[in-house]
Amino acid sequence: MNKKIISFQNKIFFSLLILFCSDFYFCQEYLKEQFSLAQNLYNREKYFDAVTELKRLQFFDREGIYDFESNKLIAECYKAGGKYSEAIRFFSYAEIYAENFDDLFDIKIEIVRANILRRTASNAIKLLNEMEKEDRWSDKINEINYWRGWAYIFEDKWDIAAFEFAKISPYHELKTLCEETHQKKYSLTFAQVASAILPGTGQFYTGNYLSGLLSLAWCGLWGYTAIDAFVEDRIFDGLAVTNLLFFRFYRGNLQNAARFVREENIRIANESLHYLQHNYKGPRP
Amino acid sequence: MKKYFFFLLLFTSVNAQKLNNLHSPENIKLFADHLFSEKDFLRAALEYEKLPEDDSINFKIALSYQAIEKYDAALDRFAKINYESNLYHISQHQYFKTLLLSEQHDVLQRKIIISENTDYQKYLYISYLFTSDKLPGKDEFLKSFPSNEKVELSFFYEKKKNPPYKSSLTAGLLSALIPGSGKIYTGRIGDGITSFITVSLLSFLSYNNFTNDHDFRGWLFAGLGFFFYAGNIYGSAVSAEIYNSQVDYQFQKKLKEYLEQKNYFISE
Repeated sequence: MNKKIISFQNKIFFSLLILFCSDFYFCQEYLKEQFSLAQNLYNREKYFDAVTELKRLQFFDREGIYDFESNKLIAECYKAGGKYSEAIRFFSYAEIYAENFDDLFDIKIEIVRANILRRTASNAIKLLNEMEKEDRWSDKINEINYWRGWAYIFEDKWDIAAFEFAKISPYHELKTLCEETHQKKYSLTFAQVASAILPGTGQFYTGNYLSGLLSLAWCGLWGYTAIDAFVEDRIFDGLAVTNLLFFRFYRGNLQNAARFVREENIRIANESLHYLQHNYKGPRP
Repeated sequence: MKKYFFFLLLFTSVNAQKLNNLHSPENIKLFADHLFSEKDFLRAALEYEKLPEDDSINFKIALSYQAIEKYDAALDRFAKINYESNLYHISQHQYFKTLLLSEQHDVLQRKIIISENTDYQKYLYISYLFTSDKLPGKDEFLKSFPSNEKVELSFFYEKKKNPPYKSSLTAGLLSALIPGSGKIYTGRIGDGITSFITVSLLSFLSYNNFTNDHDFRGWLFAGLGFFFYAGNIYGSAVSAEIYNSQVDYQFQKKLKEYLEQKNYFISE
């Protein structure tokens, strides 16, 4: 009798154990399959579907086994789809679930990269500066400088970017590129001051010779006419020509000089960015 | 013992299937409800669409599409809800709300006019506030709405009935009499003063040059003065039109905000 009771109790215990283990095992398997499905969709660039499957995984993953991976992959989907704010939001969730320093560092860098692409490079620089101050990232200082350099590139501060890359190596490829870009760029202040002293000079400086000549000619003509009127005591005519004609062309000349500098600088920066996008082999945001 | 193991294995596998198949209809429904509550409406709609159609599913799909402004899809789904369903009445309210949101006022008016249900009359009257259709009497208009909303609705009714428009003709005539006054009448005080100064200055310069026998300059300033004077009259008339468009825009904006706040008088 006693033996039978033990046997019955054993069966109950054994059954519960099997049920518990099978539930746990099958649950793990299904979640793993679900994550693989999402990864597969991500690899096939079906980002919307990948996010749906990852959200499904998060909903059914009651234990939070895939919290880090799913949030990270959702963020990568959004990043690939150009939704950088959403990407940063999900990278931040993943940051909460990072289990070790390497994962945490990688996620922080991902947030920096998404910020660079979102053109909020100042946020990226702030984050990198905070990371630099922390001792735990002291062995990753080169990586921090590298991404800070990229952030400054997107801030259009090529000289500071070159300085950041130089901290990694004085011969760093990006240091050279940034220095060259900075040297090629035109000075806005010089162009405006030059055009203020002699109309058209700023345009000559940026290579727009015809516009420079026209500015010089118009300002010369109306300047001469105005002075001539004042010399002959035709004060009203002098004031009218000065205000309505000379100042109009003089101001236009200054604005033109500034516009050409901006246009040329954008072209130079775009050339460098184009090179970085298509020819640079290292990691990019 | 063999029987025991057989049943244990069977029960285990069935249990595992039931618990873990994330793409089973039950789990799709759970997940779709979760997405819906998270306001991820597009994904929610796509998940609900995987389920066999019933009134509840159609209703949730319709609400999801309505939330993401896919009004035609929402209308299709609301229209599919069965007359005998518990959701029929609320879905009809949502249907008319969707027509209002999608600004299909003519369809809404046609449907309500042929409907015998007086419960939907309020949507007809709301649509009148958005269109140029003639409003009914004030008492008749307010009768369809809850009593605690009558003060605000009365305000909208009055604004629609007597909008604070400015007359283009008056603006033009005022500017013809005193340059710039038409623009001041339409609320553009800075523009009005500038116009007044410009026309006055050019007129004075013209007069001054004629009196000093500078005929060419006199005619030059007279021409310029006339150009600004005529432009000011035309500008004042246009300014009144712009003012009226702004009145309409502000009215519709406030009305939409109010209706949104009141959920178009649909009880949750």
